[in-house]
Amino acid sequence: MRFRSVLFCITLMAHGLAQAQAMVESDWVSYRDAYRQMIWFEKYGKPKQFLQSHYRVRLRDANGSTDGLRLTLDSKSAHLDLPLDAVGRAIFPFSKAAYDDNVQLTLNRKAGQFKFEPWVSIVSRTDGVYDAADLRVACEQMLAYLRYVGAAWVNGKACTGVQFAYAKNDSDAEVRFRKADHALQPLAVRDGPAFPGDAAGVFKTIAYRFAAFPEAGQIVTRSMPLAIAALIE
Amino acid sequence: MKKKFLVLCLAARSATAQDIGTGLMPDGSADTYVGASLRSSSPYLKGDARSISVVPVLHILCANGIFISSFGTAGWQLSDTPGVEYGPLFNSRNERAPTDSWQLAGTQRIRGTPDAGVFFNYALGDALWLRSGLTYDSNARGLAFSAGVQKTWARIAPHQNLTLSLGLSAANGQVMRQQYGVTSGDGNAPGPGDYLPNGGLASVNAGIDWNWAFNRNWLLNGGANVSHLGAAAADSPFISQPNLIRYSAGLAYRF
Repeated sequence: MRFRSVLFCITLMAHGLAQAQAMVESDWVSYRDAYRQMIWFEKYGKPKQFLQSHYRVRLRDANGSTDGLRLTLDSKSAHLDLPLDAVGRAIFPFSKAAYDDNVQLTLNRKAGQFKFEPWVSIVSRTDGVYDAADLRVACEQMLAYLRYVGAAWVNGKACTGVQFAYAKNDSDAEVRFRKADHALQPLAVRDGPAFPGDAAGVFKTIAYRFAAFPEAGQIVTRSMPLAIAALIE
Repeated sequence: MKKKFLVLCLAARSATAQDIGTGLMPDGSADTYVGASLRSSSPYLKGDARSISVVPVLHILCANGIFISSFGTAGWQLSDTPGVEYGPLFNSRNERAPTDSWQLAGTQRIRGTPDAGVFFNYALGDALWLRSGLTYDSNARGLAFSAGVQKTWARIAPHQNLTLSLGLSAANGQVMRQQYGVTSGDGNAPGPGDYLPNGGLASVNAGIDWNWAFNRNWLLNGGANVSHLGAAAADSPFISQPNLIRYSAGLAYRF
């Protein structure tokens, strides 16, 4: 009986806390938990020069908006804004002080709408010219890293290409394959999410599939893409 | 009964949390949970009633891989490969004397010397872990082994996760006889009422564990654990029943 009544008290308390939480339209994640996920990439010792690591928030399903989305690092005394790019990525600040203070990352959205994840993608080049061989290596680096961290979904899969994402209204969204004889062949543009597996987001996406083109050549972009994803299928 | 017995130590332990690889936190930092848990346990000794107790919750994980958890477990996680954890493990032991209670007459004295061993955990993917541990019982001078699988669902609701575990534990004859054996008289000459089990399966266990983080500091936990004792243990004259069920509910603060 005593056990039950204490259990009841705890349940009541939990209920009260949950209600208090629901009134504030925000979600949070422990900085320590995020740090321990993010540090894997920093410590990774194998080749990763074509890869970059971000902390990403993304919608769990298509119903929801990213308008005005704001991610902050909150301690008792300070609020640090972590700017999100067009696909929801932020540069993660590694800080011993923040870790020791057990601070939290806050998102100005109702709990459960967004996923908080470490996110690795392929680095964009400022000159817009990519060696086809480099993009194959970039995809392989990504696959090797995902295997290293134990992402079960890549089991039995292989690199098939990379995908460039542009804003839906970007009229400069153009990617072409330059063959060894300098002939240029434009790649098809499709509307879709910036990264395969994203539940939401409409971008202009341009997939470069390795099998559809000769091994030697270059990928030439007219403007800088918002993101480059590896296609692992 | 003042002491908790080895059954708790032999039961599948999830002392080592996931993601405890070395170098995953800033040098010199630590992650610490402190709290209390209300626990209701099946009677262990024949004739005892179900017991309710408040037990401390303590879990410390240091940047260098050293961890300490409740009930006297400490270890050192040495792997820096994701999905693999291994290292030395130490368990403190509760003393037990034949004179502690009438049920324990004729049992061997257990001194509270700590046990030392090794643990090895391997991630099978999708938050499913294979866990194992081999311990040298310094008091019984024998070996105990435990193995199991553990699966965590990281988000069953916002900030809530659920872990299911299944496991077994086994020990050799010395450990089993010290833990469950009974000899009549002074223990030197074997008698007709003696119970001297051989080594083998000590228990199979199933557990469910639920966590709810209210905020970055406060965490609510609830759990249930069922241990089915192996025949050699369950047949011991002083053991109340083969199935031991434990419920717990606790609150912890993360420093």
